[in-house]
Amino acid sequence: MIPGITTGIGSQSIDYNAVAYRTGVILVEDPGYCAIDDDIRDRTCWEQKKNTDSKKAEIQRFGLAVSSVSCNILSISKIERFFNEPEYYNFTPSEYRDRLFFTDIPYHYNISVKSVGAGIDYYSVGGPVPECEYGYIRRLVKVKEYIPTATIDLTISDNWDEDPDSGLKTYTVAMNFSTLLDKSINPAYRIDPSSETVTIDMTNFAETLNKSSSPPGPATHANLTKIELRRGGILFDLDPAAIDGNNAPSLPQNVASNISLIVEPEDYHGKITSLDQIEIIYTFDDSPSRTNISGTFNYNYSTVSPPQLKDGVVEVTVW
Amino acid sequence: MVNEEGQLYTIEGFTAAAIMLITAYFVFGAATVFVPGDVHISDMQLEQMGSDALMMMDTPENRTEAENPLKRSLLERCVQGNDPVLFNSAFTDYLRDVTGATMYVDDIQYNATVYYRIDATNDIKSYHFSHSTRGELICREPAVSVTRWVYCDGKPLGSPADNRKQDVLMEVMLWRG
Repeated sequence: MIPGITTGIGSQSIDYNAVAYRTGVILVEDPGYCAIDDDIRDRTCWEQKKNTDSKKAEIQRFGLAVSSVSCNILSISKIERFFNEPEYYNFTPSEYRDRLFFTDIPYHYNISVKSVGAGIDYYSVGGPVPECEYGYIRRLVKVKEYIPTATIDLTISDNWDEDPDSGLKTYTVAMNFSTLLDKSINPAYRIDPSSETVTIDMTNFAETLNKSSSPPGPATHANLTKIELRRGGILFDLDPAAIDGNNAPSLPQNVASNISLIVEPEDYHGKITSLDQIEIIYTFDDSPSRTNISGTFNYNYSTVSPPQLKDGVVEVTVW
Repeated sequence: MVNEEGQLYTIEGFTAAAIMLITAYFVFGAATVFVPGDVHISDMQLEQMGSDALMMMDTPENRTEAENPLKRSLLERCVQGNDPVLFNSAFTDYLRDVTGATMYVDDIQYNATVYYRIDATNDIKSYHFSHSTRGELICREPAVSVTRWVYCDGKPLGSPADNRKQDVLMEVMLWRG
């Protein structure tokens, strides 16, 4: 009995390195896998599942890679959901085990990530690492940052049209998904609003307001009544993140300087079944009139900076 | 003549045999069997580390860099510009990058060589490219080799290679020093 037990412990300690290696491969080379539903675009977008027990149960395998063809390039959205930063799914240790280790052996684990460039100082899940006898692997990765903010600068005359007449005015941000998700672009470098958060800042309203012919002189503000997201005949409201620096304002609202809008994929997944062209429409009231805030901004690779890849490191320890 | 003394010898014999057998059973059973596969696991960690580091040095940081043929990755710039100092600092930084979850420290040494082909004679030749502080000679420690093809659109600066568009092979030997 005694030697049998001793040998068993000896051989298991050797196993841990292999388990850590396999777990590391799953995390950094695989985008994960989940059951398909209306909320997500494809089976690898597990991080967009709704936060309910039944939807969480549909996540079958964790993986942090942007896609299966871009090894070692990790998605920041997946990292945040996996490490629960900020708090969201709150996965339990057994949920992590079921979706990462695929075994009945109750391994202890610690998985950590750091990418100073991408703003991740240190995220980790699992228990504290013991001083010895654990399996270990370290993987060097790049973290694909969030899509940089699209800035619609109204001092640039191409970004707006003059209003000769009074009446309701609309400003449209058009996203063409067949251009954005062009298959010839490596997924590591794609601007993909269907899986990542989009931030749109409309700035320098004073420029167009000053040129307003609205009597008795230049307008001091424009009146934003609503922001809508439209795809074909489907139309629903979005809330601005900030107006003139005030967070979460209610509409209608006067705008003197800028509007910040954050659109998350969760905002429209489940409401729109196929993605081709999406329009975000800002509607301004006619009071004051002729504020010159109308026009169209094409959201594409020439108007938005591409996401950057930042160096990072992932460590997996198992015992 | 068989007497009580004989029986005692027999019992002693059996007892000694049993002790020897039990001892042997403990000795062979308790030892950890160290098979080549175990060595392979620590080799594999080193190999993965090296190949990840070369891959990261060869990954463009954005789409503009990736799709512009005039933009080179860090690894390509090091080889093309024959800049072992830049390579040493970047590669060493990658090898030392940790999250801080463990107290694990390993001092990895490396020695990098570039292989190229002379077009006229079809000979494969090589030159030493860079090495870590104690990486000039590979000593007693077992080393692993990782390689990566590096594109050069001309002769790597100051190297004996041909002046033509070519892929040269960078081989890095890694070991724990």
